[in-house]
Amino acid sequence: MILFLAGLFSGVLGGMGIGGGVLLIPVLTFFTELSQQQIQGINLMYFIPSAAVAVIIHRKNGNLEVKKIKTVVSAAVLASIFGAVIALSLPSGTLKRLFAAFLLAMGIYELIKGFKIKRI
Amino acid sequence: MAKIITEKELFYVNSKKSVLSGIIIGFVNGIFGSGGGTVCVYMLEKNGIEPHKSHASAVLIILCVSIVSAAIYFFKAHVDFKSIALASSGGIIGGAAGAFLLNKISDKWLHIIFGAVMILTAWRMFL
Repeated sequence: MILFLAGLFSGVLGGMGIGGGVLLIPVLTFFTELSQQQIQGINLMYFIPSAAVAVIIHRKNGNLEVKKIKTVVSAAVLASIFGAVIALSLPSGTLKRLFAAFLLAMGIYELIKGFKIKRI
Repeated sequence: MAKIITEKELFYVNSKKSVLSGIIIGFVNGIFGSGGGTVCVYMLEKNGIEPHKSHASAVLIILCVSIVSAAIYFFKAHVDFKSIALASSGGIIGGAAGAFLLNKISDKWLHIIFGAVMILTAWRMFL
């Protein structure tokens, strides 16, 4: 049940493009006994169907810039292989702390971004 | 009427900076299994793509990236099918809701609350 609810909530944020997985991962770290790698793997796999649905809707709304992102996509796919291999070679505790540091940086960034927005 | 391509558009079609952005996005998403989307939105916005379009395009970029890294995690990290199914079914419903909301909701407080929650969570996770 916690997995379903965590997925539901993260999906709403993810569909809006503000990193649902960034919340799903800590929730699963607190409430399950899974390793950091397994949790990150769940997040990646969980993301695929929800993102596919979101992409279809964004396409209908005309919000996709396919031509402009071709190069970014190719480079990103290759780099992700490298990132995943590193993640899988680290101990779970180390990866968890690295993730926490990343989360902190992202949180600060979100706060700054929020305060910069003028309209309420 | 011929379409005028701006410098920023050209830049995103093919350039070193574009490749570099891709490398950072992919690496982050690969090592942390998430977060590439936020980095991606930041980079697209910085290069002249409107916020709503950046968000939508970021979902597409991260979708491609996630398919590849998910395969690697799946074979190496022994991920349990039931967990994926549960989280995914929630994710499908939530993802659709989020995409519909994107064009309707103003996001100042969304970012502030989200950021604060992330900082608290990071602290708790570090302990």
